[in-house]
Amino acid sequence: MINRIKNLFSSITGESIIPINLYLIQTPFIIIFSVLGDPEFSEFGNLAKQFQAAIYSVIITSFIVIFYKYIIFAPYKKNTVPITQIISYILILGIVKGGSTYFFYIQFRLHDHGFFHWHLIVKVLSAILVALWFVPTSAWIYDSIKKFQNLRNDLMTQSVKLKLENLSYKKLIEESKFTLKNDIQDIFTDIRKKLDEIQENKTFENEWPKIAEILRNVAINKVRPKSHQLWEQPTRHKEKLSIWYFIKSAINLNPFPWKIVIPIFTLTAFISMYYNYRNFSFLLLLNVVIIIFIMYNLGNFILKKWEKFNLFIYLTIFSCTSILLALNLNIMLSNEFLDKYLLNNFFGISWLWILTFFSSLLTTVNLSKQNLIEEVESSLNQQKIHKATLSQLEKRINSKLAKFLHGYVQARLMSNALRIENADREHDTNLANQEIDKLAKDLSQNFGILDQFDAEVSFAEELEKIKSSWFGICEIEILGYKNLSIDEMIIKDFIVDAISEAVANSVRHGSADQVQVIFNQVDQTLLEISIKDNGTSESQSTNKGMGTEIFNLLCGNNWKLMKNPSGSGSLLILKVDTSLDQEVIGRL
Amino acid sequence: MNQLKLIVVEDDDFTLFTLSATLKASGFDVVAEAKNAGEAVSKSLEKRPDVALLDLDLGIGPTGVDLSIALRKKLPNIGIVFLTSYKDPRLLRSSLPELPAGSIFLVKQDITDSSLLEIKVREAALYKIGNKDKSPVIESEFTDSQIETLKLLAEGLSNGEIAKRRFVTEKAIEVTIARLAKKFDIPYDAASNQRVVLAKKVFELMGIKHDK
Repeated sequence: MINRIKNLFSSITGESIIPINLYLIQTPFIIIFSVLGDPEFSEFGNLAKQFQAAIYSVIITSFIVIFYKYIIFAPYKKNTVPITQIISYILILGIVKGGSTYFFYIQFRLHDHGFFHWHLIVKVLSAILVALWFVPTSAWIYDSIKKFQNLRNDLMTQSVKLKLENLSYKKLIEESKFTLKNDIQDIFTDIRKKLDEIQENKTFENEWPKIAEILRNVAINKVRPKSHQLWEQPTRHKEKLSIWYFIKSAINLNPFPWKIVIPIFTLTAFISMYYNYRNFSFLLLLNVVIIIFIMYNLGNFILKKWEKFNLFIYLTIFSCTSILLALNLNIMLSNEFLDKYLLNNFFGISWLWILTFFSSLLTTVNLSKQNLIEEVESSLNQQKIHKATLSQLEKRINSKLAKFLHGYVQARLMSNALRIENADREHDTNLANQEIDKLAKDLSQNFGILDQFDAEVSFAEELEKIKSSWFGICEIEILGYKNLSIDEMIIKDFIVDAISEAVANSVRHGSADQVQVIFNQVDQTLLEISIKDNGTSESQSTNKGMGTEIFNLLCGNNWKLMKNPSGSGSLLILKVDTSLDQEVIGRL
Repeated sequence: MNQLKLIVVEDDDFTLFTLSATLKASGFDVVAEAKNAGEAVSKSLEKRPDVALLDLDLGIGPTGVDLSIALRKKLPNIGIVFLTSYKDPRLLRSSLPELPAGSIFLVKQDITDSSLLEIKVREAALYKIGNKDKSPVIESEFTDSQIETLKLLAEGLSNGEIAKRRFVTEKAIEVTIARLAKKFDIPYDAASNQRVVLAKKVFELMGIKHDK
């Protein structure tokens, strides 16, 4: 509550204090209201004069608005406008609006009275009360909309790099692979060019270190920045948060906010009612309030039921309420259903319309804020997941690339260098040229290894790879992995890494030569992996190192290492949450 | 004099081929070539080589060190030579077991001449006739903790992330990085990003040079 008050206070004392565009939207309502809602509106014959008076008074009032916005409030653009200034603005606005209306009424002979009269006090007081409602409400609505727009824009900006709508991991990897393939192709092209130069000039002896340098330069200066480009995604704005968006939402979401309308209406309408009807005005007001309460609740109920026809129902309820109120006022005031005052009363309710509409807007803005916060939070959570996913993916792709460049390309160049060196020492130019030709051929075919990037390796194949890689050193049996339901690629990758690490630990630290891995899908999202070995019980190092790190990342605290209860060696149990939820993402 | 029998284990075809050719040219009898640990073990049991020339990084699964231990278990007299681009094996994988006794550790970048390789292979073969030296000590000025921090730093992780991975405080990582920077003699100035320079140093240790 205190926060809300603080927010409201900061909105009405901020730079949104006079939102010109919202004022322009209000102006026709104000004119209609000041004519039709006027307690002295009685004769249709005077309607034109009353409109004229209202328009003139609105024009005069607009000078006050402009004066305050651009002169009085202008110095406070970055600071808070003092509340005393705002109160003075509301008072002057009310006095000028009420006073000018009264002045033109006198000029147009709508009043026969002298310059000072109760009419003037009522007009000024009503205008001040309306200003008391409109000024902070407009500022608050406008400020909130502006804040939401900024919030939404910030959110979208944040999403730019990370939000990958409708882009599956597979597609992302394909794109990454494509970019990387091009990068690597560039590297080969660079080397190839250098090689051509060497072949032309036959000065290969001193050129090899340069080739290696080129390779490294390209890897550092081209591949890395390229991979960073992968994460740049185009901005996409969902929906523009304009005032019209909120107006539409107001009609659709909060058509009849009776909790706001009734107290404000009571406060603002009572003065003129009391002025006209004295003690009878209490009963009159109670009657009006009951009708508003019933009709607005009925309206909300019907609209909830038949959302499709919302505008039609909205207008119908409005009209029915107005007719009901007008008829009711007529009965109460003149004991007749239909007389010349009925239409007057009907239009007199225009203030209720304005009030309802702005209250709807106000509640919508408030509700939208909550929705937007939820949207922001959900989107940020999504982003976190994307970010973690991408970060893992980036690491894997970079590591694949580094391994490729380091393991394959560099080793080949080094061994070529060695052979060329041998040939050179033996003065065998033919052999050296053959080596260069062979390297050139391999380069033109990209060493035949770029295709590896396209190879799809399934979870089962990854596990088989672990098994076969340790063949001859350790016999690995893997059970229960064929019907696993793990959707997230990252989790699969981490499982493969964890098993690799566990097997390596069994061999390295426990001297095991037999390892058994058993998968057990406990439920939809919980997977239990048991890794048994026949080594010493120290197989799985409990020291803080790579092994425990990956187990912690994969399982949090849900892993344990113990002596194998059914024999020698150790037993490692990993409990893996296979859903990529917030907790898992937080760890990864 | 009998030719020394060698097995060459290297996961890359091309390097395997050229390395074997170079060794053959140097007068060795390359009795077997293997691209992975499994192949290496079975071929070694069949051909009984005097020396195994092993790459440290054999891809997924066992490393050259794991293979060397397995080979020694099965052929206790086999000489071992590691040939790698990693200046410190811990940069390949943490918690690697000790290198087998009498084994030779060679960094590819240091082999500027094939005769050096020849000498080292012959030296490793002496293990068979009683050169039962203890495990080779790879001179490194870095502690395990520093190596781990360097590896994670080179992966692009922030201090916070490194601390999370290493189960230590962020402050401890800051101190480690400051010490490493001092060790590498990297000044903390606005002209260069200390972290990037450190990462480059890690790549150098892994055998990937950077532009000056």
